Amino acid sequence: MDNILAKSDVFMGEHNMTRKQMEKKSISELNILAKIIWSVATVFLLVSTSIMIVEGLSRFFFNVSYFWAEELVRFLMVWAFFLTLGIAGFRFYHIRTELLVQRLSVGMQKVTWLLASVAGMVFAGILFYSSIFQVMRLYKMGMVSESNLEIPLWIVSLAVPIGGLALFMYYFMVAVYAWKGIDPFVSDEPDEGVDEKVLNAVSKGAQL
Amino acid sequence: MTLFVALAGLLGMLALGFHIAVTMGLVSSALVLSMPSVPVTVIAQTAFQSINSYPLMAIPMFILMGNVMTRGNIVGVLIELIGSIVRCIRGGMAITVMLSSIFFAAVSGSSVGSAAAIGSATIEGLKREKYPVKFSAALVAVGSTLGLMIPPSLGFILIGSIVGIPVDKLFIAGIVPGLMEATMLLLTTVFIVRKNGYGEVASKADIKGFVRNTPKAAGAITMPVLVLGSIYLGIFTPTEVSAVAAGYAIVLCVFVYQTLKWKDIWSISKESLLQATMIFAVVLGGSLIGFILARMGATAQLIGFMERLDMEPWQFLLLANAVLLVLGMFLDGVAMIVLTAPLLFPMATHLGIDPIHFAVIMVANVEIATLTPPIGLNLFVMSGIAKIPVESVAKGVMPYYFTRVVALALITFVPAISLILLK
Repeated sequence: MDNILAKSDVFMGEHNMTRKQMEKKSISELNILAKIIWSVATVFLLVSTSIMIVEGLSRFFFNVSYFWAEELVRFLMVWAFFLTLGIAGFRFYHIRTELLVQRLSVGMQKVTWLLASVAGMVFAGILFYSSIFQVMRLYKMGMVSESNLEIPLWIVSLAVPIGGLALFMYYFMVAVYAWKGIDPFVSDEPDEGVDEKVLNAVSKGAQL
Repeated sequence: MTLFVALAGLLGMLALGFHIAVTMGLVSSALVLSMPSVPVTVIAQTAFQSINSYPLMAIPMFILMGNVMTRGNIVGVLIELIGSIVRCIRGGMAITVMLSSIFFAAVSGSSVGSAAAIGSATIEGLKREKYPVKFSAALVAVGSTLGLMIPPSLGFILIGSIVGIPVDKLFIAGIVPGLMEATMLLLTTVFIVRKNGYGEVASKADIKGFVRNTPKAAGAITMPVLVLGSIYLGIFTPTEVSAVAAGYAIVLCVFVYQTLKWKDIWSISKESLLQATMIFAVVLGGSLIGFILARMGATAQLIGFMERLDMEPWQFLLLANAVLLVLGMFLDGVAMIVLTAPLLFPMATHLGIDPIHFAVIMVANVEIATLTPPIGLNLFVMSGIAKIPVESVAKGVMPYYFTRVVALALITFVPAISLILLK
């Protein structure tokens, strides 16, 4: 791992730019958009949590239940998930097994990074393509959700192509990094004061 | 043959370091596209439905609760309380850590999260009381795995969502096995400490300290009562209790203990969401795999194969445990559950094994997986916190493996341990 980072540093040294600077330069516009999307998705999580608290307490104390609560929470979280599918990648959250890759030569590692990025782009593309048809079908059918909210289902399903697109953009960036010989799956700047091993394990450990 | 090639491709891509979610999604999408009778929109439908699940909504909220409790340093309050009484006996600090692990398990559904929280709060204290670092790291790594069995458990939520078992029943089923494992680990700890003479002993119990710390810790102690009590009594659904508990944790840390500020809650929420996204992404990939396996009749074929072998339930359980233990060495817990649950559960129920019992067995295997090199995540967390090599933590964990395997055998072959509270 150290070797890879060292190589990356050599590469970056040639261009007199750290990886962080490269990242900032290459995705500065995306960064602002990503921050907004991440914040919106976080608001969805907090609103979902609040709705569930109200629903739970209202049922317990007043014996009053809101039929729409469960549905709205599900839809908000579906949107929150698909909105952050790409951001989770940029923040090194998606899980992978790197046991074998770490034992390969730097050249071979670069090949695996490129292959992984191509696989990611293909899957994201399939997800986008298939969901566009699904959204169009739901739009034509004019279906609405079950509760009294009657949300058009095509709007709810629109989250899937957006997630596919976000995932594609992430893997495109992965490919760019991989092509330049930088390990796209490892953060070289852990948060201050946090041990790298702990950070990697906690962030990539899927919380189980 | 197609299935065999797909499986080989899946394992190959995982070995090459492809993201687990993408690997599962790509392989299953390729299979869907190869079947002319299946419309491509099935991929989008399955992806959407995999996340659009009410029980699954508990995951981000329990993660939020666990992260708030971790960052709010609730562990410190508890250790102070338990330690004031227990430290007067030989190995008291080690027992304190184990008891704190049990408590934290009841407020956090994550093994890795518990290890990070308890490890950060206790490793220095254990060092000061002359416990070897290797033992201390192992102690926390092992104790934290209880977070997976004692409810709320993210593992149970995942299994419940994938297989369709009510999560509240799974939570209740996990209580007795979790407490049994905790007792066995506690006894193992006492044995190791006494045999090797680890740690210092306080001259007498600090009753005044205990009385002084109790009101301070009362808010934190209420949390497991809220979570377990409300689920057991059927007051809240698991998803509701996850939200109420997250809200309670925020109130506790912001207003009562004042260990967090509102801006901390915002950043914790952002990170919690990405952690949930990471799990959901694997669930999405796993759902696509589950769909295609069902469509290709893979499960039916496996059941047919099992019938031809004339397999007894105990033989199946033995084999399932062996497969899960081996997979656990190379796969993360979420991936392990998502990949194996759609195949193993139909086989288990076909043989007359209670699915709730089998879910507890699966979680017990995931607990061991988090301690098994080379991927055991708790080993990595504790290696980072204790600043010792992963191998040293693994060596320290060695005596506990025996206890863990005995516990797994008991859980596997005595279904009553898992089902007693449900009956």
